[in-house]
Amino acid sequence: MGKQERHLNDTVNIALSSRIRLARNISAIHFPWKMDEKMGMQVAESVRNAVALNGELDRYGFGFKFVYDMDEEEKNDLLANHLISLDLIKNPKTGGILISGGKTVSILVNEEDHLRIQTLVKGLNLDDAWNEADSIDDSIEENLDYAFDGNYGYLTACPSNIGTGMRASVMLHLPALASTKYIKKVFGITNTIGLTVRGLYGEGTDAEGDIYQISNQITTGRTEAEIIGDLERITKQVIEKERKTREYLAVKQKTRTEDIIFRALGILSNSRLINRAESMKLLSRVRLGIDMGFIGGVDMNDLDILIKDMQTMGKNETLESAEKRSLKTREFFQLRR
Amino acid sequence: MECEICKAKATVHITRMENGVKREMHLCEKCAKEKFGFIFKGKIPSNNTMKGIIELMKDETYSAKVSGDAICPECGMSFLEFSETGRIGCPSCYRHFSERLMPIIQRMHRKDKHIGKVPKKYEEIHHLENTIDRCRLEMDKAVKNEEFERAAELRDEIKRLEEIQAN
Repeated sequence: MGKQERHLNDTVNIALSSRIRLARNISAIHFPWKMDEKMGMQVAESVRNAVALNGELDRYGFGFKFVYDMDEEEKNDLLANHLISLDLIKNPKTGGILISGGKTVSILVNEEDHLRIQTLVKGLNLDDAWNEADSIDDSIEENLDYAFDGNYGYLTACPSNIGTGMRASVMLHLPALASTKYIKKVFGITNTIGLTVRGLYGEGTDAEGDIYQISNQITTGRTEAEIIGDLERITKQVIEKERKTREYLAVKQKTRTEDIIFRALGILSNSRLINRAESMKLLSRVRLGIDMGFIGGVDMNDLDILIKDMQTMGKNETLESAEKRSLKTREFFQLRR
Repeated sequence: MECEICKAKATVHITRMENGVKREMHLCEKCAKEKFGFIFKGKIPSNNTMKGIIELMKDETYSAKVSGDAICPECGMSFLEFSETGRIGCPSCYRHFSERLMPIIQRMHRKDKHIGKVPKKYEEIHHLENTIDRCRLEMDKAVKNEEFERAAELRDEIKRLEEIQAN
């Protein structure tokens, strides 16, 4: 299969998803870390009511669940889909989540803040994610008094979220950049303009599978549109850099790159035991191989589902899980190639 | 620590990226001013996170402000607790610790005034407050000018608006 021609501004296969998160709190109630269990239950009740009372939100088909009602598998699945956070799991007593039927919108209850409204869309599309979060926020606000101050804006448990309470982020697959020293440069540049690059699960996590998340650090003194505009601009530049690096690898280091990609495919198709870290590393290379046109016959969407499955299988490393993983990848690739 | 240029006591510490390489500079105030034309007071947190705040609070510029035993009357959080955890206790803390929090927020976000979205309800309350204030001023003026009929009208209007506000 020949090399696919791609434009440098083609975001497909690199920008995985865009996300908006709005931190909101209820006025006159302590922030979650200062609440007792009774207060926490009250907050959960108020949020559920505010969502249930607004007909506008019916179309989302929100269902509520407390963290203590979730089993490990469900938690891992929600984590892999970025619907819940590790912080929420740490509050099993009163932490909960409202999830939309389509699993693209979630409202975390009693995480770091009383509410965290999250919207997730495919690809690079922050505007749609924002419009959705904004409108859900409007609807909830009708039946809930937010903690808001004319000067400070939306009040949050951590001053790092004050003002808009908004964190906009884009998830990027950057295997080519990650293999060069440019990736460090990207971190440096984004930091100086109030953006930050993190690993897959946010703050302090590794870029497992070469998946990075770029998001805004500054949340106040600027409008939501300005913050989103900046993030989108920088994201496009990073994507262009990734494309250029891929082009370089395809032309100048073709054999070496092909070797790395096909070795990855070989292990994934034939190994008998594979742990999470290795599977993510190799799947990232295969993903690159598909985009660069080296590997044919594998649909990118299918591969992304497989990557999610690997994440859903959790972080526990046992012989059984390693066997289960390799069986899954083996079946996947042997079926297709 | 000595200033890299004049060997005086270095009080300004700058970390910057030069061609992708992190470089730390230690200068005295005078040399920093000469070299950069401005002075950073304290450290800019590398990360706008809880950890970043805790780091920032350890900075000597802030340690003086942290001492003292101010406590939020609403939730009982002390400012010292905030400096250790990087977390605020309740919405009232922002008002209560305003003087100390403002510079921190400014440092983290480069600005401190929110100019983004405003809750619709707040817009209404804000509007109501302004209207009541305006009516009061007009009423005072009417009394002064002995326009008692007008003053009574305004008094009723204020009462009506205040009832809306209370609800």
